[in-house]
Amino acid sequence: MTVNDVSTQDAPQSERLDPTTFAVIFNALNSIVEEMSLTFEYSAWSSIIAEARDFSCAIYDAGETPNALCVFDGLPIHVNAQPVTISEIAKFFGDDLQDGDVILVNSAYYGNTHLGDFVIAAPIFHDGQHLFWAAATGHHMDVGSAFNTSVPVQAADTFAEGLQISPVKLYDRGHLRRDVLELILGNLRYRDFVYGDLMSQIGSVRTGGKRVLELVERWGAETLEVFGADLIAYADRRTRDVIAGWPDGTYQGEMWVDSDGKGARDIAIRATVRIEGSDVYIDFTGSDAQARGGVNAGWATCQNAASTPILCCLDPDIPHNQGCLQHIHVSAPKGTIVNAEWPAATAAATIVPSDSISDAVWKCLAHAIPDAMSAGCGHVAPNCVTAGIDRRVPGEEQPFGMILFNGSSGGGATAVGDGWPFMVTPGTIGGLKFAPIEIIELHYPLLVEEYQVRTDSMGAGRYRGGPGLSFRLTPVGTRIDNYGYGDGMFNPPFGVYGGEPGDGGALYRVNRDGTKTLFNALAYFRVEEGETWAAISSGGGGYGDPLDREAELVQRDVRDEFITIAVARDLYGVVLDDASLEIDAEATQSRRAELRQQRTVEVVTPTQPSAATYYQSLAGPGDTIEIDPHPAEDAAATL
Amino acid sequence: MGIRLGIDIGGTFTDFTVIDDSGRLRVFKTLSTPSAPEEAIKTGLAELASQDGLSVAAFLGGVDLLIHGTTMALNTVIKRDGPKLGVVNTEGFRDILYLRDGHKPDRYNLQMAPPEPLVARHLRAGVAERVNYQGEVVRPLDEDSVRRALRHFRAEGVQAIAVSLLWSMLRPDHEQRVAEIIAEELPDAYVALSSEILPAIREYPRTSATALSAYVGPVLGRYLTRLEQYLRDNGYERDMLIMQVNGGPAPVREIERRPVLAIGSGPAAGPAAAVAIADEPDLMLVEMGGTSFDVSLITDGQPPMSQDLTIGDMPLGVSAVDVHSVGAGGGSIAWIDAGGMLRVGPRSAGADPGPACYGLGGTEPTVTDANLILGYLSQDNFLGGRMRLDRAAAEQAMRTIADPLGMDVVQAAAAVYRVVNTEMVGAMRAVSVMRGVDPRGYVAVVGGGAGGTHAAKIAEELGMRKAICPLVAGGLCSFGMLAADVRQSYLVTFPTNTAKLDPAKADEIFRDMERQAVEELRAQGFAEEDISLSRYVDGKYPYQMHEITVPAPGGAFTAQAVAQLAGNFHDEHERLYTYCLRDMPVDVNGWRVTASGQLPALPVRQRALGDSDPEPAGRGTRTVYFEELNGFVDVPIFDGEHLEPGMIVDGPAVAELPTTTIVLFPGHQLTVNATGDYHIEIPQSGGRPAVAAAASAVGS
Repeated sequence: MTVNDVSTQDAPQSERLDPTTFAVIFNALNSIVEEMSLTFEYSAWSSIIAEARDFSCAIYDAGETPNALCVFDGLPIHVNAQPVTISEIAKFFGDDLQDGDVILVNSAYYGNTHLGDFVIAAPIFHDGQHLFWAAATGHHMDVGSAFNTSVPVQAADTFAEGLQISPVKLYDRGHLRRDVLELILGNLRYRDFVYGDLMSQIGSVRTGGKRVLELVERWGAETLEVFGADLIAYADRRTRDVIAGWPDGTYQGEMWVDSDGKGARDIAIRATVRIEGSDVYIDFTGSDAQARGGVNAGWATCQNAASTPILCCLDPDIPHNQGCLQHIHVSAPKGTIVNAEWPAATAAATIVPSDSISDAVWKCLAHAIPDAMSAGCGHVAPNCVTAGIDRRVPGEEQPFGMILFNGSSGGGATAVGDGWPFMVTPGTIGGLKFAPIEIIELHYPLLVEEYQVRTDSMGAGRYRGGPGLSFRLTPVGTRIDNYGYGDGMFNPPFGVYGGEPGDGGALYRVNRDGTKTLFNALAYFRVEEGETWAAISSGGGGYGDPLDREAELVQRDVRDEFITIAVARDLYGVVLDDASLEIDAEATQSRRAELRQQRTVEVVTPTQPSAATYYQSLAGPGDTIEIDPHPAEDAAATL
Repeated sequence: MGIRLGIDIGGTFTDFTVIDDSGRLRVFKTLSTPSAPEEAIKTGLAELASQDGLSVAAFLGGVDLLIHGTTMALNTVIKRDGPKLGVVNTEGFRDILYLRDGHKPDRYNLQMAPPEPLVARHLRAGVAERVNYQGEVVRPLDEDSVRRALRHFRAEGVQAIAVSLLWSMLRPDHEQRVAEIIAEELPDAYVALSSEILPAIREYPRTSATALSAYVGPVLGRYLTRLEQYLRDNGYERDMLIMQVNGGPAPVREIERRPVLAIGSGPAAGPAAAVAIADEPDLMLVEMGGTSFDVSLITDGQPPMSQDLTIGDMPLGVSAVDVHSVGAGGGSIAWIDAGGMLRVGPRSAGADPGPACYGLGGTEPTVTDANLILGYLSQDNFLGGRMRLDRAAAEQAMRTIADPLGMDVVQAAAAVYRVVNTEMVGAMRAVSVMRGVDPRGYVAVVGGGAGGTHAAKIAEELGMRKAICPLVAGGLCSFGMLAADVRQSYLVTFPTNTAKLDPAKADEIFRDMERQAVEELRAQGFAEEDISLSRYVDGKYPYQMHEITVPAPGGAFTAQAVAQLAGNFHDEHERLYTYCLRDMPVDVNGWRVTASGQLPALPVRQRALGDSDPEPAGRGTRTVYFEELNGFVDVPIFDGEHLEPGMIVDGPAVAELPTTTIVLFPGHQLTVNATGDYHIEIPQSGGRPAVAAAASAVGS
């Protein structure tokens, strides 16, 4: 990890702020970033920002390598990636920064994650001096790809992915560069949407800039500079203390990406985590070579995805600034799927391979700090970018596109409780929101047929995983083209210490004749009117032996149809009366004793790739399974 | 008009405000009796009557208006001790209450317990039916599926049922039919329909409001019936009104129709009190009690409304007075986190054991302990001398944070005072600056026991020039209930767009709601001229996901009105979000009418302003800490109750009242006005620039 040595913890006491002033500015900065987030969320145009909340706002200092000072409430997938982007922007422009500039970048090879994420950053000047950055990252729904999606995994390289924006000034000294804006919008299908979202994102950054300036006027630049150093030292102290309590050692974990979108299966990511004193070293030597489709990680994604599990095991309220992040040292060989070289495609990076990078690290932590970690969280398996033409009002046909996260996966269980239900992915850990069904149907020509918890989707355990969901919809008066960008259907959320894995979920289309066509998570598929698309997300992994789960909790899960009575008997060893659902204590005792004899408990399950079979079990007579189907010739021409 | 009586049941105290037609005003407090809330009312009424030398019947016989705010509904939700509840949703969508908006508030906390919905999954049934976004039936209601669900409910002993079907706000037929079938299958069950409770788009808040209504409705109904009976038996001959969360009272039958409106009704009365007291249009009401700090912003005499209020993590869905609450009060505990940072709250010592200085066993340092150490509170005259504070205990508790911070006890207390102030300033910013409102033109109105000790200082931090501590600060909400106009809200969901909107249709929607509003208020006895109507719409840019509520023009709704409505939206969008797109048509989803029935104006008792010299109220001096003066100084202490209209006190000084202590900072000046309220002028010339004071993110 490339960071400056920020040894502020040794700053002499006289240069430190008094505790009161420190606490006051700390709170003020958090509320500034919160205000930036509210501005972005409430005024954004596309569902992915306004409803799904796929964005993060932050304030940085203006160091040569800018330090993140406050990323309050940021989306985890951006937290330790955005600093890389801001550094690249600072490096790119050097001294050529003026008051009123607003900079945009989306290229993964300029420190960004994937081109769907637009990073907007504005230098904050006071009295002619550059003091801070305000920044916002948001996932936009159109990047001018050859494919009609902002997550075109089918693109074989960065050229096919879409418009690559190296750092450009969208505003120059406060003046909108209409030429640049038009250049960008002119490359896009959904220019109105992106324009609305850009305005909203710029509004967020400007709000942040304005508020930070008020803070400067209130406290003075020097005080804020000392504050920045103190804040980093504060996070450093707290992080240091936690990690120092973890057992030193070297731990290994392996996870597999389902496919590369182009036919290759089970691409391995191998992590080695070394805990030494108050630092964590994560290395990915031994991971597979970079892939042909857009499932590669650039450096920002790699560093971020490797860091997220560590951050989850710290105290939740440690600020994730440089003082904290500097304790996590990530390294990866170039040319691998976790640290791809130009011009490898990275379209789906924040999910594939990001989630599997995190999982490989999580598996290491299962050995290292079992009490603090969690079992596997479902990946974003059944979600798609959906595009088509809204033909509901004759004479007013218009193209639409959307990204929803309603098919959210369940979270993994921990040593103390069941998994959180709506984690979505290991990289967002619950930070996204669902779009209301009625809003979806009002805005798009879609009818949602089902949206509910899926029975038996989660890994059993002393504590079970959060459930997966079933999200089914059908197009109204039109057809839709769907571009999957998920993972984890073949390689399910892992269980730990006797807990079972989640089932991996499935993705399929119910055809007009009633047969099903099943797809893998990166498939492109079209759904015509009269057909249904089913996004079946996985539940999370379980923690601990299911035979140790309280029988009453098992009974409650059966009553609530989280699990079936058969699973209660077969996996949990709890025998219930078919009609009354009363616990048969005697039968339960003997059933549990019987099952216990057959037990061998692994730290992590499964240990082999492609362990999930759930999606295959759905294939009945006449059904088909398609792996990595490529977009139809006319799919991009939905306009 | 005879006597007006406001009764506000809170967690600890039940407050009464009595105003007679001469304007004589009494505030009275008695301990709440949570298991049977009406008992506290009976006790209080007996006390009030005996103060007047009357029987309860004679006293109530003279009452012309009784308005009541209750925590009954709120407590039912928080304690989860309501009836066994069943929910009927559209088939395939029975997890609406469980899924919520999907958001995990504290994402890095892996061990956060999964949400526990109000209704267990096996009591949430899906019934086969479907209506689409245009209100067309896509799948007719399968009545057998309804009966199957209801039979399961019956077997499980369900007592109340919330029915919330998709798009029912456009076509309520299926919900109404389900209600008919419930009447056949479970005739004793309490039923709430989402199309009646909250006919708004977005299934989660609508279902939540309906479930909350069904959950609190039966309990609340029984309580109100008992209370009405008691009042009738004891001489009260009028209709009791109930304070609503939307800031105005309504008759009991309206509350029975939409019980969700009674949740959180007490604090919603605060803004009306502030408006009645302050005589200025732009106010910020700040109430600091033992455990929480509530703040609401009043612009141009109107409190802001929000559709996003939650209770126990469940959205109320209905339009509610936006009271922002953070865990910062007199009992908030100061602590040092693992990184060495000083924090205050949200944990509170509450009333038991209370702050260390109460001497009831508390050992952790609280804000009240800090205030005692700094000399803001009197050891001997706290709560008018009813409670003696233990300074040694406060110091001992404060030492637990002073030592690790390398401070002495006084420095630590001063730090606690400042840090808790930033929490409160943060809450005040959240309702102002973060919503695009500059607080500097606003006047702070102060309520709650701890309010007077902090309010002027935090107002100064925000650049405000004046704070008012009313005579009724201790019972502000019970007073506010009497000051608010009767209020009813109406909502129609009709998604359209300004580019294609037929003004005649909008005219019809507004007029239908207004006709209904006038009818209902007339039936309550309001004359036509005492009824006022306001129109609003929920608008957004096409494909934008979130609406903002903006005023719509009254009168005949013409093409010009459409343009004006769009203009209102663009302006508000720009103010809130820094940009707008004036060429863009505006989507309108919700159409709202708010109707007020104006109650006769409150009589106000004015006294002549006397001499400005406060000396007659002087009670000697005390040494008090002021950071601005670099430490302790001797300052005059005043008996607030003897500060007469016209008297002026210059800070630094302290004025002690039976329910709060006003700390007057250097440069601040207190004047008692003709109604006996305490006005504090805050100079903004000295000190630091006033803009953007410190803030906090707590409570967000």
